[in-house]
Amino acid sequence: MVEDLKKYFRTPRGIVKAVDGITFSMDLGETLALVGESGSGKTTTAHVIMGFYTPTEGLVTYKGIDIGIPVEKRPLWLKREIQIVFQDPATSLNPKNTVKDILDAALRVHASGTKLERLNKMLELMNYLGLPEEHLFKRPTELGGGEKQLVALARALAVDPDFIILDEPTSALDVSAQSKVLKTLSRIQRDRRVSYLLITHDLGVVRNISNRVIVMYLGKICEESETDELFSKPLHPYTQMLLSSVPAMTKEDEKVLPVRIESRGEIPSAINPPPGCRFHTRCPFAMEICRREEPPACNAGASSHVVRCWLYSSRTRV
Amino acid sequence: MTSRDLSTIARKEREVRLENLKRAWFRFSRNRLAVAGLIILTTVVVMALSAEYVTPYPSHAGLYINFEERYQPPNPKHVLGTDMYGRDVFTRVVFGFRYALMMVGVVLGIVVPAGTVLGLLAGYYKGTLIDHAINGASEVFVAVPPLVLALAICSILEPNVFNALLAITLMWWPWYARMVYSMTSSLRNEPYVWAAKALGMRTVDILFRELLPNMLGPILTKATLDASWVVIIGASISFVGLGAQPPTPDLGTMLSEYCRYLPAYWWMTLGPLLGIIVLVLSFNLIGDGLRDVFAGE
Amino acid sequence: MNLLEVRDLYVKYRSYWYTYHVLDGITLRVSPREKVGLIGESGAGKTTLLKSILQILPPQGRIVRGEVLWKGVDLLKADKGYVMNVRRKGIGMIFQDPLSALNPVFKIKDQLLEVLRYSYDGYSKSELLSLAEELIRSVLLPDPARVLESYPFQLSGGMRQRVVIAMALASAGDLLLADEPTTNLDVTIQDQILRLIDRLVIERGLSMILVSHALGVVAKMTHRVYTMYAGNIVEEAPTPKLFNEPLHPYTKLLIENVPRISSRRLGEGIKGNPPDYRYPPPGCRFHPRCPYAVDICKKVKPFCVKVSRDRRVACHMYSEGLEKVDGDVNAN
Ligand SMILES: Nc1ncnc2c1ncn2[C@@H]1O[C@H](COP(=O)(O)OP(=O)(O)OP(=O)(O)O)[C@@H](O)[C@H]1O
Ligand SMILES: Nc1ncnc2c1ncn2[C@@H]1O[C@H](COP(=O)(O)OP(=O)(O)OP(=O)(O)O)[C@@H](O)[C@H]1O
Ligand SMILES: [Mg+2]
Ligand SMILES: [Mg+2]
Repeated sequence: MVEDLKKYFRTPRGIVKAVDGITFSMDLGETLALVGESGSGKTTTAHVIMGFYTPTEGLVTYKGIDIGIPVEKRPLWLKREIQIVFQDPATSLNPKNTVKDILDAALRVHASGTKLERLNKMLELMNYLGLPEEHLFKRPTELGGGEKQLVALARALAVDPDFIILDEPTSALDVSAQSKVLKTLSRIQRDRRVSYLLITHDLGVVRNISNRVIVMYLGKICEESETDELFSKPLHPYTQMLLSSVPAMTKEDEKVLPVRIESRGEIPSAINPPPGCRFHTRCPFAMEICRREEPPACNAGASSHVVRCWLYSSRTRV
Repeated sequence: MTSRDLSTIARKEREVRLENLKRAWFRFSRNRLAVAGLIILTTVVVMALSAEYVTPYPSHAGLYINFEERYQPPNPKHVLGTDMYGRDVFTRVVFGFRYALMMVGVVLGIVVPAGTVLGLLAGYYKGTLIDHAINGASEVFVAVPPLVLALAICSILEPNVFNALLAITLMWWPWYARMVYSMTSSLRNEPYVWAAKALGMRTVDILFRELLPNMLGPILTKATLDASWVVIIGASISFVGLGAQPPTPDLGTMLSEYCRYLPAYWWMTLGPLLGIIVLVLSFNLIGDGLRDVFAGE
Repeated sequence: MNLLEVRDLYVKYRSYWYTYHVLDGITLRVSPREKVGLIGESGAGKTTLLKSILQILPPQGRIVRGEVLWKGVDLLKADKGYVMNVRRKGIGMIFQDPLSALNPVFKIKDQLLEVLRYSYDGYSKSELLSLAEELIRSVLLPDPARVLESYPFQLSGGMRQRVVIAMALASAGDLLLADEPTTNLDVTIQDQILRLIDRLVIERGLSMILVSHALGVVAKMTHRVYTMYAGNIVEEAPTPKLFNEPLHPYTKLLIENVPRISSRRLGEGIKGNPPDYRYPPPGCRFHPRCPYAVDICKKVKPFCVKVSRDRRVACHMYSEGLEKVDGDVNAN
């Protein structure tokens, strides 16, 4: 679906290479998790897929059609099929509109029935997500952070999309609401075969609902694998650092975490990314070659487990 | 879901609307001066609308001569005295309100929507041809001093009320366009606008349903404050003889006619002057109150 | 002496027709150099509590009664200047929505300088600017110069979050109120930021109240945790004890619902919704959702009892034969 995608931003201080050549594809009905450093280009990738930015280079295809076009130029059916839930619910809902206005606007665009039918659909949705009916006439500012995100989710679900990009959908939710939403997301996926591109920092969530994981670092993919495989056998030093940084809540959790590789070093700038492997500045295992040459994609372990790191370059390259 | 539920929900919606209105009124009413302004303005509007019935001598509004009663100072029969033709000044001022309010209504009725729409378009399509065209045009109009432009138009064309309105309208819209432009260009990057685009909402809907409600506060406040400027500028144009012509009971025209009789017959000038002050003051007070209403949201 | 002590605080929000009784007698304390966690569902009133401490509630919010003792002085009765001074130099707050704390039309630089100007009076503009750069670097943001010159929308969510942290650190002299400080950060940065906050807390001798839905973060960062449900503190315990053997049914459910990396199993969520604050349930506010609720829970509000030396819980299951305690009775 995404091939050698690059997105650069021109800024007064230089060109920001937010996404610098990534390739991946997704199947219908699967959940692909995108994890990685903050600022590594995950949201940018999502926005390019949505058509908020056009790619600087590379191809984005959906069901075989090139969709590297701005969202305004996309046909209506395409907009209906791809939806997004944003990172920050406080700004993704219009502060002046009530929940009813917000949901109604979404329903109206795709011409779904009479006022009464729309209202029913709204109430059904709100019920589905555990939002009390009395919130219908509240403005986002009167809702708690969690409730706001649920409304944003309801808005995306309102148009029956096939593919939803979830940009940190649960980072603002409390544990109970998070469980409910994750359950709901799984239920929707079971019922309608929707695909999710899940962007999140919560590895607990990744572990529990995704089939496959892509780990990004500074605009590039460094590891890609089935979820279980990744958690049991993380290969890339960055992935290991990621996993060992997860704060353990109980003694059980502590046991599963890999040996602690303390996260350290400054995150390099996206304007002047380090040459060679981008992670070498923080990598505890950095070798001479890492500073000079970009690591090749290697196949280690299971066939779908791809890692870009010189440590594994003796294994089969792909 | 039964229809009974639908009506419950509709009732709930009305309740919430009402509560929002009450809340807004509550904030407005805490500003005593604004309430005073509102009361004054309402009185003025009612009087102007029913000028034929509330004034003692409706026929004095236009051409009317009664030399017996001319130059009378304020007295119980003529609260603001009479002028050089024996017309009741109070009556004429009330009719003058009518012209002033009409001017405000027409000018703001054109300028505010037009400026807002142009500003929205320019801001939303920032960096495109639309933006440059609208901003270019507004710069041209802003560069010409307002009164000069108005005077120029009125002196080239025939001096009458219509042309005065045209002049004021032309010089006013860029200010709204600019204000809305700057708000739009910052709001259009808000995620809720992106979300609306992703949903496939029409651009018109995004502009008027998503963006506009967030700017209504400043726009309305500015419009009210500007209303007083319209009164002043309208009066100025007439004062220099380029607007309404005698015997139209326009406040500015009256002022220019009567001020020749200063200082002996001071009450004649006082009438229209008071009229202008009352209008300007009440619009300003209300504007301040509105600012409180929107600031509290 | 406690650095901060909140006693029996009641806060409500008023709309034109309704009154929302949100905080319902909150008692908590923070000792110097202590890190305290505050957990609970969305809408439990955590942000309301933090905002009440600083008295920056929205206009609808009213503090009904209670005391907020800052170094022994009741902030609710202190004069405006004192409170302002505490806000600028004593307590720094990391706000929950990073964007609403940042104005979209100003550059980061201008907003940061604005804050710094108050905390460091008498510094020149260029000194402030280098301070600002220092601060940005201290929260591990690359390219401080680019960040300072950016508008909020040009930064990624995590970057904005760190800018907000930097701003809060500028005005935290004694206490840091961190409302979801690391929600938008990836775990490695989160880990670094948490260690950074930890270091600052130790170096500067700060205390902290940490609000987070990421229970793992709370588990790792704090000494003591309060669980809050619907405007009540329902449990207080030293951190490890709370997470490994929670007592209150609500805390138990909360902990069960965290998606773990140690197992592939999603919780069901806690059934029902948080109460309607206009008509809070009588008795224990949790009883409509509590699997163990019995008759008494519906009628009598449970008071806080001390179940062991350092644990308190407000639940009828534990209250038999134990005496009511208040926040200030058992200072450690
Ligand atoms: N509109 C823009 N203009 C300039 N630079 C941008 C813009 N949007 C993003 N960037 C830059 O691109 C880089 C990647 O940002 P992005 O939002 O994709 O990160 P992210 O992986 O989603 O991070 P996070 O996890 O913190 O949300 C950052 O360095 C950011 O500053
Ligand atoms: N201005 C307001 N008017 C009316 N009710 C309000 C207002 N602000 C907050 N509330 C209500 O008060 C309750 C507590 O809100 P608060 O923001 O303190 O919760 P929270 O624990 O911080 O939740 P979250 O974890 O989602 O941030 C919520 O039910 C909310 O709806
Ligand atoms: Mg992001
Ligand atoms: Mg909160």
